[in-house]
Amino acid sequence: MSESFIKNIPVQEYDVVIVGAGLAGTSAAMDIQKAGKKVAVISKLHPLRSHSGAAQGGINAALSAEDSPDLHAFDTVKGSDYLADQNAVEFMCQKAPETVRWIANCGAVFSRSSDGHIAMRPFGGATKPRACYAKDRTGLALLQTVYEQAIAAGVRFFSEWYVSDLIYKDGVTRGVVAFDLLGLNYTIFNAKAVMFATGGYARAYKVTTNAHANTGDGLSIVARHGLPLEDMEFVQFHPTGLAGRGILISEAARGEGGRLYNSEGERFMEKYAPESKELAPRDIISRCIAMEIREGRGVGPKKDAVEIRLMHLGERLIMTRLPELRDLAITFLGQDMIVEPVYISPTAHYSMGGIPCDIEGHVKKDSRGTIVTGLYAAGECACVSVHGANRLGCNSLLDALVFGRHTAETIINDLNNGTLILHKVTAEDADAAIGEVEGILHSKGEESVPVLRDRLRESMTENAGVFRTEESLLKEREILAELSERYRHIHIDDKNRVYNTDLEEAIELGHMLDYARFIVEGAIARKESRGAHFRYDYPERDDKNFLKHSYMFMHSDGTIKIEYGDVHIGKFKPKKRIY
Amino acid sequence: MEKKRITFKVFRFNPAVDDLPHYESYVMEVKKDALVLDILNRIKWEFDGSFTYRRSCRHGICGSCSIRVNGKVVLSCKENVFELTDIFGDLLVLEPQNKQKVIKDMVIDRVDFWNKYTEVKPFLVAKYDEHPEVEARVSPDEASLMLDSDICIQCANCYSVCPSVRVNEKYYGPAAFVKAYRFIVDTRDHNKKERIDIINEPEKGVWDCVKCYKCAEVCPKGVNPIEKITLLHNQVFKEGRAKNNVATRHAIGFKKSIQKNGFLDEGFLVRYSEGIFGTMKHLREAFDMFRRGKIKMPWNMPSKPKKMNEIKQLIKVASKIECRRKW
Amino acid sequence: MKRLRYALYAGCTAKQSTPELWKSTMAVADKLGIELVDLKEATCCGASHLRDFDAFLSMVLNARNICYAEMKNLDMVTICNTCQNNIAFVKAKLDEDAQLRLEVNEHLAEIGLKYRGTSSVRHFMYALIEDYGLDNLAKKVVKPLKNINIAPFYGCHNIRPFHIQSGFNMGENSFHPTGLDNLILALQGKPVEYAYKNRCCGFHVDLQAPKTADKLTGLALADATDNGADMVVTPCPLCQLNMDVKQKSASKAVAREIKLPVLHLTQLIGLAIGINPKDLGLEHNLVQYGLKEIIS
Repeated sequence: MSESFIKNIPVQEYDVVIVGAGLAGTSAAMDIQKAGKKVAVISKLHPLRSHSGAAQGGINAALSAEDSPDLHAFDTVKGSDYLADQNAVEFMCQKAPETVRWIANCGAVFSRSSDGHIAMRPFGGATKPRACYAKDRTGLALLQTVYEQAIAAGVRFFSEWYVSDLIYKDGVTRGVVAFDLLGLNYTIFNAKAVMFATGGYARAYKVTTNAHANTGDGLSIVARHGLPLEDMEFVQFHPTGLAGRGILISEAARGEGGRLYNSEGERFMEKYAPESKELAPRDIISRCIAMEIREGRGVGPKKDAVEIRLMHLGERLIMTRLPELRDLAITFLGQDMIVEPVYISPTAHYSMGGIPCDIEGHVKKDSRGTIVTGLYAAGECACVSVHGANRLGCNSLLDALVFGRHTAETIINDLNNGTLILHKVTAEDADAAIGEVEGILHSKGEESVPVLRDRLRESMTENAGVFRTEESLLKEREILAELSERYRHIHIDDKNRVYNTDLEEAIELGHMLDYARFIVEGAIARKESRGAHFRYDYPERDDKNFLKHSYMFMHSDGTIKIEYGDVHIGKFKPKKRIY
Repeated sequence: MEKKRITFKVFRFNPAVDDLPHYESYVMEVKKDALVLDILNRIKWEFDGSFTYRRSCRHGICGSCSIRVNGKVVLSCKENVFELTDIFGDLLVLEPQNKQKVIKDMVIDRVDFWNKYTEVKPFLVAKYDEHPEVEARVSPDEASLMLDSDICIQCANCYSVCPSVRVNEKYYGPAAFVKAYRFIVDTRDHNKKERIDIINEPEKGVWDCVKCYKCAEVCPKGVNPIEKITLLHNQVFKEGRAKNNVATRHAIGFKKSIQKNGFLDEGFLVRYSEGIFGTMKHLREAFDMFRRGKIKMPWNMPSKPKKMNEIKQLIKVASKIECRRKW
Repeated sequence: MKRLRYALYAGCTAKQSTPELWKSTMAVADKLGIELVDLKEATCCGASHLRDFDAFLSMVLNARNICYAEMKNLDMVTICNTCQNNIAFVKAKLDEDAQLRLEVNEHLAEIGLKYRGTSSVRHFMYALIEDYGLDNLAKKVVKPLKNINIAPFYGCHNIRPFHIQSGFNMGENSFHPTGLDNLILALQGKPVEYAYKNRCCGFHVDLQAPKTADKLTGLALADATDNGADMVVTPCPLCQLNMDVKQKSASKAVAREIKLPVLHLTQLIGLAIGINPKDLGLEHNLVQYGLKEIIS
């Protein structure tokens, strides 16, 4: 990279720059724009391609008379295996009814009950039906609505722009460095506030529901600046991914009455969770399925799946409420759920951990809750924590929307009360980012990105998946160290600057390798089983030692330091979870 | 699992190094359950990392990955390769959705598509409370009308095969009409008249639909855009927003002619739709046709159908809209 | 072979601007020993335009059209793609939607009719392929179309929408149709392979968007020409009109000089099975360029 090029790097100034254009980022941008602030949203995809659109089942809100935000909060806390911060959970559940009604009134098309109200259905771990849905494409309905309202408000989107670094110096946030995929031209976005809404990190697994884009870039960008990541060991494995592919079959399938059977024709959830059966939370069902498969009662050519049966629901119900799911099972497995069972197995789905945030959306720099000036996060990349050790179905869209908008409110307040000022940037602030990107572009090593990535994802599924042991995790630690070393010697085929996705995939792999270590180190240190984190060698929950959030910091040499912080316990005292 | 050897002839163009596009062939063993996106991935990951395409969700909901296979536009993450070889044989040609708009390999410039999306005002216009205690009521039937079109994922398959779009860059195209329709049938929206006027504009609006049904064929979500376009035509008349122009008279003229003759009087349709001045444009053609015995004169018109009274009676009882004599 | 009988829905064009379609259809049917019973009670199908204006009326009128075929206990054949599209569309809707059928029948009851769904609705081309058979047709060929490069132009409405027309055209794949190609082969002609064969001629916007229509027709003709066609053949009189009568303006729209005869399918069959060109109405075709040489 020539020096003059760096000196000429354009700088754009904004009040707020938002990274990521999913439900959290776009809804925040809309509110910030409406408040008269200058905001830009940068996304490596067109906003409507964001993974929020892939959410199927619904969004939770206690709308019915028989339900209450309190019940919703209790279910969420219990579902989280008591690791969620109860003040945050209460806030989210209180906000849920007005938030869902608000998005409906903005235009979101929900399925309706006969009296014209938003229809609701049962979901796992929920004591009342409170999943508001749009057939089985709820995420798409909500994402479209916030995007539509955002363009109506005049929000500026930078689509297919890649953010490669955060400018964070002397404890203050100054903006981000980004380049357009179209021509690889760098720009500094200098802003008073930066909000990360970059999504989850389950792409580190081979069997996953996540999009190709969900490489968790935002997490490692933050971590590389010495800021912590929280509870990274908690990765949700969704029980019903299409066998082999990992493509999501929404929990709505069970909410509407789908049943799970093993190769012996036994409805096995009856023995594990006699009360709620298939409507137990995801962590529990995933473990039960994995157990059935492990003990030889799997179905399919490799006996690595179980059946979900929906035939008894009838064609009409399936076509009106689950048409997308039916289509997916036909496309990927050739199985039509109207007439035959569908083969499913657990698949990496959701990231409970992420960038630690307080309830207002401020990013925290330590376990005591010290705030980073000018940096905010919301959505799946953030850890507030409302999901604790296991998220309940339909709480993710809610989290993204409630905290996306609430973080916007915080940012607007912080701007209005003068807490945030524009800290000027210089061209040198982009040096590190440009150095990294250009380094990869001109790399001449012998290692291949797809090979390393496959190895990473396969080994993570194998060693840091549904079941974990000290042995498997230590093995994974070594694999990650080896892969990181090999990553330093990669090459890419595409050396050009136009729409270089070869380069993009290589950068993303670097991020995945970095945050995968947080997952593994968190899992090694947490010698207990809680929610989605299950250790064969420590099968019980250990509240005495581990009713705590983990905060992990990456040193420049790649080692990770862990400290633990308190969980905010409110009115729901930790109890044994029985379903 | 069943496997076979398939040759993929792939459109390649990298503006940084190529003057012109060219094709490269990749031969691979393909399993029966492989989808087109699997093939794109394999080309990039096993053969040439510089191969470029858009993709994200990999299960038919983000709308990124549409390309053409032997001319057929497909959302690559939902299209099974064996089903394509059943139609086209074991040589599959992979090309971008629109070769005229190529940026690189399968990646095309979609600026025009998104501009048209924006031009139809794709957002609810309504006053709403920031902290509502109730939601606006929507009946299940009304919701189902919207849900039916709200599943469009903007993959642009319909747009890229639309003949009218191809030759008239102003034409909004099927996806934008689906979006417009979704808001026109939204009972909460306050902008209905303006929306109808947008899609009612000559050259840009629904009247330039050539009725080829291609949009319905290529939609991976079963949206059936032309069905919505027809409903939009109906809305224009129903809401009284039809302009007095050749397109609307063309539609009304059919009914008038059937009412009078039972059959379509071709000469009448042209005269009625075009008006006297417009009809002049067709004189040359008409003369050619006359010379070849292709124009019927009043005295040798085909006879009216038998039981004309039945037809008149049906028109009386089954009409849902009147031919208003405004023009 | 059992004598084939059909109720013929001739449509408005065959009796006005394309008399050659009427003549050639009758001549071919006669020569092949197929009886076509003209539905004299039928109305115009309304094309897509009546559906745009008054969709329900279009439904009811076409239900009535089908009723008359049913009353004669005959399957209906059409000779225009748009008629086929409209009437098959109505039939498919009525057959799948009991509620709609009830509503339509309430109206038909006013004139003492009832839609039963007993008659199929196919284009004559597919009735020939399916019922008469290409092998039998091939046996009737006396003047093989040897060395003639014939560009099949399918026309949209016979093959799309697939979910409806596939029920009436032996599941023709609209992305890769073969019926017309096979027919040409049966007549020993050479089908031309070209991209536009299943695309749109733009007829339905001829009046309101003539530039669009001319350009689409021009592109199709140019593509056929560039791939070595000596002539075009189509089962649709509307496509034929655009490609034949409007060939000059279509050529102009794509800045080409195109001279390509455009025959109705029945004219082509008629030539091959030895019907006198006059009985096929060939003198009505505007583009006569090269037609004589081809025939002789």
